[in-house]
Amino acid sequence: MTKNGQLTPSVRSSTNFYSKGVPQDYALAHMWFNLSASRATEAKLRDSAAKSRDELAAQMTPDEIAEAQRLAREWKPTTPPLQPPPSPLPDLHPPQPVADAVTLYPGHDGRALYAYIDIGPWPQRVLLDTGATNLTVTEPLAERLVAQGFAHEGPSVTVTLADGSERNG
Amino acid sequence: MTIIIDTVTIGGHVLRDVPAGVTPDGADMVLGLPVLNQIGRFTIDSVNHKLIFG
Repeated sequence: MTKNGQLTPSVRSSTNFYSKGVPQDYALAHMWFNLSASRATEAKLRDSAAKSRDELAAQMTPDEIAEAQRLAREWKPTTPPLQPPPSPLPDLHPPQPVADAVTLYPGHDGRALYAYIDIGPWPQRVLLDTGATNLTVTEPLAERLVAQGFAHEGPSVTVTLADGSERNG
Repeated sequence: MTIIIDTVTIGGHVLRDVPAGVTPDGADMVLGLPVLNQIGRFTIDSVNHKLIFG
C-alpha cells in the first residue's frame, strides 16, 4: 500500500488470491481493504475499498473480522521515514589560506630588497624603500607608458627618492 | 614630471591611478611603502625575502 492509502499492484494481487485457488486469508484481505477505505486520497477509491471490505466481511466469522481489524490497527507503513540529508563530512584538512606574498630579491649589497611588479602591462624591478613616499619610474618607461596609453601626465609633485633627496616633478 | 599610471599590480593586488615620479634613466625605480599601504596591512620578511600581505 502506498502512503496515500492506495493499493499497490502486489497488494491488489494478494487481495485476489481467494479467487485464484491460493490459500485464503480473509483477515489479511479485509485489513488491506480497511486500510484503503480509510486512507485512500480519492473518494472513489475509498468507496470501492469499503464496498469490497464489507462484501468480504459478509463471508467472514466475527473472530476473523476482529483479527482483520486488529491487523489494520497495528499496520504501519513499511516505507521508511525520510531521513535528513547526511551532513557533510567534517573537513579534516581545511584549506589553508593561500599565502599572499611577493618574493623579494636582495640587491648586491645584501641590504636592499627588490620586487617585481607590473607597471602598466610590463613587469619591472623596483626597489622597496622604506624612505620613499611614492612610486618612481624611469623616464623611458614613463614615456612609453604615456605613449601607449597606460598612463597620463599628472600634476607636479615632490618625490622623495631612495637616497632621501627630493625631486620636483 | 609626474605621471598617473592606470594600473600597478603588486602580487595579486591591482592599484589604479597610481601617481609616480619620473627619474632619469638608469636610476632604480622605487616603490615607497605608502603605495603598499593602499593595499592594506603588509609585512616584510627580511629573512625569507617575502613581502606578505594580510
